[in-house]
Amino acid sequence: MLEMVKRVLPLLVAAGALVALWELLRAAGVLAPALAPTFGAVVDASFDLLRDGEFLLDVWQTARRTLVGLAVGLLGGVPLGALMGMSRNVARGAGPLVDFFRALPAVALLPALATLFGIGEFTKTLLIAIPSGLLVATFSYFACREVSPELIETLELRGLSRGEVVRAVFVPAILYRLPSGVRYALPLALALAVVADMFVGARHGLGLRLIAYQETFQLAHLYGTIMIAGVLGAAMYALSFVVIPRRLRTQQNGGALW
Amino acid sequence: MLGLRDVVVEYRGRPGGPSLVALSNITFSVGVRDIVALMGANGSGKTTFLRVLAGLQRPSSGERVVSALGRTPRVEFMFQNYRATLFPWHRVRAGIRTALRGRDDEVEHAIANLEFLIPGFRFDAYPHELSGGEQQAVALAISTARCVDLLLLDEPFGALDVRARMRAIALCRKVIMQDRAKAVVFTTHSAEDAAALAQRVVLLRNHPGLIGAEVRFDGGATGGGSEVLSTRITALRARLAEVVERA
Repeated sequence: MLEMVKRVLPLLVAAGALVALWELLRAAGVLAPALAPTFGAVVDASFDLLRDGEFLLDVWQTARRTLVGLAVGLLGGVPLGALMGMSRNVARGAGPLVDFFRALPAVALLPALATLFGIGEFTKTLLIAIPSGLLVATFSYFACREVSPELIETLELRGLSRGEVVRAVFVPAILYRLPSGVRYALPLALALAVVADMFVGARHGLGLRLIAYQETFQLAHLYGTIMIAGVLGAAMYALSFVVIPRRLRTQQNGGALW
Repeated sequence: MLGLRDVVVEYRGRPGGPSLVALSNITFSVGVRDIVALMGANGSGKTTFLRVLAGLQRPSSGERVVSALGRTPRVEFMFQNYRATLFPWHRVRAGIRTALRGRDDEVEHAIANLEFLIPGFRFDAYPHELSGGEQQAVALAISTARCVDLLLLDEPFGALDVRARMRAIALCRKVIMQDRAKAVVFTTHSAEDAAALAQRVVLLRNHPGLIGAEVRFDGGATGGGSEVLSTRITALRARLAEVVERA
């Protein structure tokens, strides 16, 4: 019990400080009170939203897009990173391109993708999958680069074929690092899902809600939606610790940031 | 059985700069039931020597010689960086199985070796949960479990405590007696370890690395007899000092 309190107390203190800061800035006029509702009003609006079935559908659509986009990103990113990590020539060829597209702001891809593929779910999935896939590719790449040459030489001396070495060493090495990659990619995927909701012809999604509340000045609902989006991200992050098999979690990658 | 003939290993330096000759004109051979220690100062090329002998590295000139086997020799190499050869995602027991490709005979030997080196060893620990000495013991236990023609050990005892070190030396001797390896070549900085285990000690000089001297012990590897061991250690230290002086 005491352990639980020790873990939760710093979070409550930090969150409380943030709320206090918000109210202080409102009171000082730094945040115009008309444009920055009280924390209490935001919380009330949030509960209103959570009682609204249509809103819950929006939450579900954003979550679904996040997970589908991330899954497609993983399917492409993991093998790409692995190939780069296992072959210098592939790294020399693909590496600069990966770096280029990783440096490119993801939303800059949006007009091109929409022009090429329209404004359906496929475009939304690509918008999420490409940047998160490239991020995961980086983790996959470094996982392979971390494999010590001595281990490879040892196994090759023991008569393992290249394929056996890949199965015995590189695949587990990637799986060892993958949880970290997924957790880094999750917030990015969620952010892009919200952007996709906003600009890519969605009928449901949190991004759409944000635009609507901003245009109609329903500010408490706007900030409530932002808060719920944050809780959604935190919930997905926490869920990843349940979903990712225990045996893939070790001292090096099993811990949350806190 | 296996050896090196006129081997030179040279590393190219920066463009326009001098190259580094790691090994120069090395001719060496190891026969069946030989236990040879390689000694020399840091940078004298001991690891490079072992790598060329293992076939992991091609010499700049000269050749690795394989005779009388009629097939590719089976070589086992325990790296100085033993930590890097353990599987971080496997507990020790599973790591041993993966390292030895599930060969039951060798896996059983490795487990028995590890129990011998460190009684009560924690087989369900991950490598990062072990001390440096325990990690080295794992690597040594695996290497000495294999049936090979040549067992090469690069600084195999450095992190072991006194008791584990004595047991490790006994284990390496047993490997030859039980014919699990036909010959053993190991590097060490310790005259005590070399004198206790080897019948022959090759002393390398620095810059370039070449064979400065060779010390042979009459009567083969010694299992006990502290007076004999003491004499060997003294003789070895004296020769090593000479070789280092001349470098």
